[in-house]
Amino acid sequence: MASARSATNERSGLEAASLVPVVLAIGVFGVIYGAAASGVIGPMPAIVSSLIVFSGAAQFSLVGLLASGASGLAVLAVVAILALRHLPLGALLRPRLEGGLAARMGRAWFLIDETAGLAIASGGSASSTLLVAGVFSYLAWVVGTVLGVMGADLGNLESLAEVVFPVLFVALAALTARSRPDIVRAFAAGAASLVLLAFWPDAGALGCMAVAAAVCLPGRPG
Amino acid sequence: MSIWLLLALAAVITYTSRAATTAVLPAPEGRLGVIIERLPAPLFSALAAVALTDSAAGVTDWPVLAAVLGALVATRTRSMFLILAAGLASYALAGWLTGF
Repeated sequence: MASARSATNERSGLEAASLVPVVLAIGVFGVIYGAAASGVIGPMPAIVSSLIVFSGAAQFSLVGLLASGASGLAVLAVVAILALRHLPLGALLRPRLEGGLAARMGRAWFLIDETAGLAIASGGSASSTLLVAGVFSYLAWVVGTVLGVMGADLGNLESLAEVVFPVLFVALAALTARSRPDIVRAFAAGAASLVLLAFWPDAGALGCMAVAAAVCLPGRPG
Repeated sequence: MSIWLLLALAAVITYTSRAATTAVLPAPEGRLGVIIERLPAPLFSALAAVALTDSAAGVTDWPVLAAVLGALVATRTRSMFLILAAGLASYALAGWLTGF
């Protein structure tokens, strides 16, 4: 019993340690976003955008499009397209989340690629993992944005932060692959996504999610 | 459109997309349920490809490639911590070796 509890504690400790590089990387990108956004939409809107949107893809796109002179409607159309990526992630999380509608609505706020992945791969409660990872990620994103607006200097941290996300997603793919067909589909989706992005770089995450869904169609092995 | 209205609408769109399937819509069943059940590993694998090509030098960034390979090797441990550690260590080693 004691050794089982010890193993559980050790596992929890390692899961918590895994969160550190992810949260730091999100904070670094928050700094980059804050620095870029304050010059385009102003310091206060940059900070408020991180407080109320909490989506790097949407916010970077919003600022980039506004900087290139796009209309508000065009910006919202792109934000809506990018938001579609949350639908499969939410559907994956739904059966794993405990609690009623209000609890799920609250936790939905923290749904980003990284937190959803950590929650799905978690050996414990997906609800708790989503909440803890989400709160720390949200704080890192907002604090990073504030520091960026204030002109923080990152040094070489940007390149280090860039490597965290591909490694994290490799880890999440490995931990959620529970059978040989899962592994085959994961390699197929990764390879097909690289080919798609090589020929159509604008396909982005949404295009690659469609590829992942395609390799999971019923009728295929597994 | 003012920047404040634009940000508010972007926030509403983003949160609605998060809450729709997480909290409001019924859990998927039938063919869609099968796809959702199979989706996690391929989905994260696809997102790894996106993150890899999003890095500054893309797939020609040797230290980032080394990090992914190091992480792939460590997947046999099935430990999130060890996979992340192996990826970051491989990145540091490749950076040192290539002088990045």
